[in-house]
Amino acid sequence: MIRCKLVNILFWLLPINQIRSYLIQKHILQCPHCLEKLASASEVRSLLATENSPETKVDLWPFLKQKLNTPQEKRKSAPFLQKRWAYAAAGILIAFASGFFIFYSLLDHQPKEYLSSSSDIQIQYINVQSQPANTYYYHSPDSDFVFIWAEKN
Amino acid sequence: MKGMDDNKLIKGFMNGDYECFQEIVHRYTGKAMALALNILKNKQDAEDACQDTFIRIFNNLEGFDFDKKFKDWFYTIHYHRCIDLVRKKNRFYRFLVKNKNRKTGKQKKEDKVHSIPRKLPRRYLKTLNPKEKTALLLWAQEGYQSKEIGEIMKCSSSTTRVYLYKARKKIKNILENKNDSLQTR
Repeated sequence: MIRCKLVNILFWLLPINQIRSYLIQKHILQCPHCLEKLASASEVRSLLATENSPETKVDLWPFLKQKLNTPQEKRKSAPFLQKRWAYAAAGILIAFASGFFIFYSLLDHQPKEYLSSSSDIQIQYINVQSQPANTYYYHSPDSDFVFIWAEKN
Repeated sequence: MKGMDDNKLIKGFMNGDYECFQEIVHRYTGKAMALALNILKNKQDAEDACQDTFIRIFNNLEGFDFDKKFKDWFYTIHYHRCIDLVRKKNRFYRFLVKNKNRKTGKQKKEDKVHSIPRKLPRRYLKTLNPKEKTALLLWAQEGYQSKEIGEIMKCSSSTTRVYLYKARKKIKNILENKNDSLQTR
């Protein structure tokens, strides 16, 4: 009796299934006193709905026959369901690729940054009164302004 | 055909004999209804669950492993179908309760008339959860041990052993209380 009480206390104090299972196997199912506190299979069957209960007597076949009469159609629809994922993945890929290209094309139309260094400027020649002129340019270091000065030879 | 082994029936059906599947349906309707009724507590829902299970089995018979028992495979599919329905039902009831609280007095009266019937075939079993009921039924009706029940319910044998113990204890208490109340009347 003392052992039974101890097992019961341990059972409720330690809510770990492995420990509880061990206690059940090693003591509760072996001890006649503890077994008395558990319902037997026949007692359980008297309360639960079982195979022989009147409410389980139904005929599902007529409905199922109707549903299962078109197996070919069902089988046909199954590959489509599998393909659905492939279609979705392809759609996402196309959307991603087109978004990527649109983004880049938008970037191309944006005005380019103003020339900021003298190395970006190339002057082939400047004519003044149909004669090649001496050309100078000045690029101020603190701004992006470039001054070009042409002088008649 | 009645004395035929389940696996032979399935092979027969896969070879094109429709009557074999009909025999499987007749053989397993009672078992399926019992489990569904205990979990779902409503005959209409139980019938729906059974029909769904048979349709699933019909569509997935090609994946059946003939080295295993058909009954175990059947119970695994059916148990999970019932649990799915319980979850759906619970979500629906929570939604219903939320909406009911927002409604006016007149609407509340109308709802009382058309409320969803909540039948309990075994009113004493309210204290048992669906997992405990399943473990109990498989143990009491089919004679399964905790390991086999664990395989069906997709949990460890320790867990099913605890479910069974708790459920058997609750049933014993229910029966004792019932007897006490009958004696005091």
